[in-house]
Amino acid sequence: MALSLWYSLRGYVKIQVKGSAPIRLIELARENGIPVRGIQSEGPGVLTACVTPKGFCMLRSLNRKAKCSVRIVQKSGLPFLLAGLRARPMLLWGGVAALAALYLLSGRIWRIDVSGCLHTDEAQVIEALRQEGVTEGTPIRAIDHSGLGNRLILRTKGLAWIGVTIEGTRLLVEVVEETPPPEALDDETPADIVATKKAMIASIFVYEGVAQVKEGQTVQPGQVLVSGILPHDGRRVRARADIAGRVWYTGKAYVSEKTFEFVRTGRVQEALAIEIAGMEAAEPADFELYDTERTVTCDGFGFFLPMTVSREIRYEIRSTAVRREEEELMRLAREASFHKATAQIPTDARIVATETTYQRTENGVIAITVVETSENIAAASPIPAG
Amino acid sequence: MKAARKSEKPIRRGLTEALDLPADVLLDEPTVSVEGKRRLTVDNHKGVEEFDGEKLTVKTSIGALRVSGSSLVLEDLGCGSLLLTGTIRSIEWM
Repeated sequence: MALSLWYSLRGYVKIQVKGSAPIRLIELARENGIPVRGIQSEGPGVLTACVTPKGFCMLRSLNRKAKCSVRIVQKSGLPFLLAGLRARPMLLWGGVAALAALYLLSGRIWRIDVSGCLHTDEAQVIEALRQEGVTEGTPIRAIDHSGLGNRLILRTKGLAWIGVTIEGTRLLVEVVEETPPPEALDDETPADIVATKKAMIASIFVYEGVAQVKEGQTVQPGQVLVSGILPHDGRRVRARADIAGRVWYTGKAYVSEKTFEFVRTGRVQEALAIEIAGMEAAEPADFELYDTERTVTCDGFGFFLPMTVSREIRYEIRSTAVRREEEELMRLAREASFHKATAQIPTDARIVATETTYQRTENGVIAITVVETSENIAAASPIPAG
Repeated sequence: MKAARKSEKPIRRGLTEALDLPADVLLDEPTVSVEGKRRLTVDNHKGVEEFDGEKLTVKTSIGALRVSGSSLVLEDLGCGSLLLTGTIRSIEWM
């Protein structure tokens, strides 16, 4: 491998040796210190081999001695490539200009990626970077890398740690958000426990206070579930209890029998797309409506260059009206109504049961899904003084 | 002169065996290395006598070495060392 690379850099010629004993010439070359490699037989009395250009000149003087004829069949390697380019100067200069442009572009930040933002807005990190003089297009050497993370923390809110790394032309900002301290429990202020929504009491276990409802009872929002006023001495306490209620959520959705689908017509166009530093250029499309499959053939970011070359296959599509099957119609209606019902359910609730009913209309189906949950429906309500 | 050289060989061989020295250093004998069926190296050879895609004959100080096979390529032919690739079927001393 290393030898092949060395020969490619130095340049070599592939020669064809013809004669009664072509190996004799190869032997003479070896004896005269001419390096020969890749010797292959191409039939009786014919050999091919690779020698350096200098070696080839030396070989010519040995031809007669070996009674062989020698001719060049191929020239390979860097010197020959450069010699070929000398005849096409614009191609050479174009290549040099492209390399220079890539070198200059690779010295700047072309992409900023922020990760770890769950509750905070990425825009405030980008804005903080902008205030520190770091934007897309900023020269990498102009970025004061040390302590940048700490300076960004001072310019942002709700972040505990920021790590900044530069990978090629990409600036990676890793963010760790602050964890807010838990809310302090108020054990002192006297309070009742009231219902937060309409529900049926599934279970009630009182630690402090007096229960005002029983299991199986339906309650309305704001209704007192556990009183904080003790009946025997009139003392006011903060009521505490575990109360679970059954709550019903309803979702309704209509799905039409008729729908439109995009189908491929069979016409295909292949195109190249080049993206350099966020700007994209692609061959114009032959079709008005099409979908695309894109394959990245050369990703410059792997070599820290802000360039990507992609190959696109464009499939022409057209819209056609189709009638849905009954089974699919009901499934779509059920899924849509279930989605609407569950969108109202709080995250800590547990789904206990689901039931869907359907109504057939002239052009479609209406699905009504009722989702039953078990959840905490209690909230503290301070008892007014007096 | 030749007779003198021949008389040196038993001494050199004895010295080589006694001191456990490599034979190619003192006796000028070839070293043949084979990697699987596809790669053969001969060090300390005296030249190629015959070569085509199916056989190679190499001169050495202890006789000719014949290698038979198919798709044989002399990848490198340097002073005293050669590298042969291809499918090697047999190696014999002649």
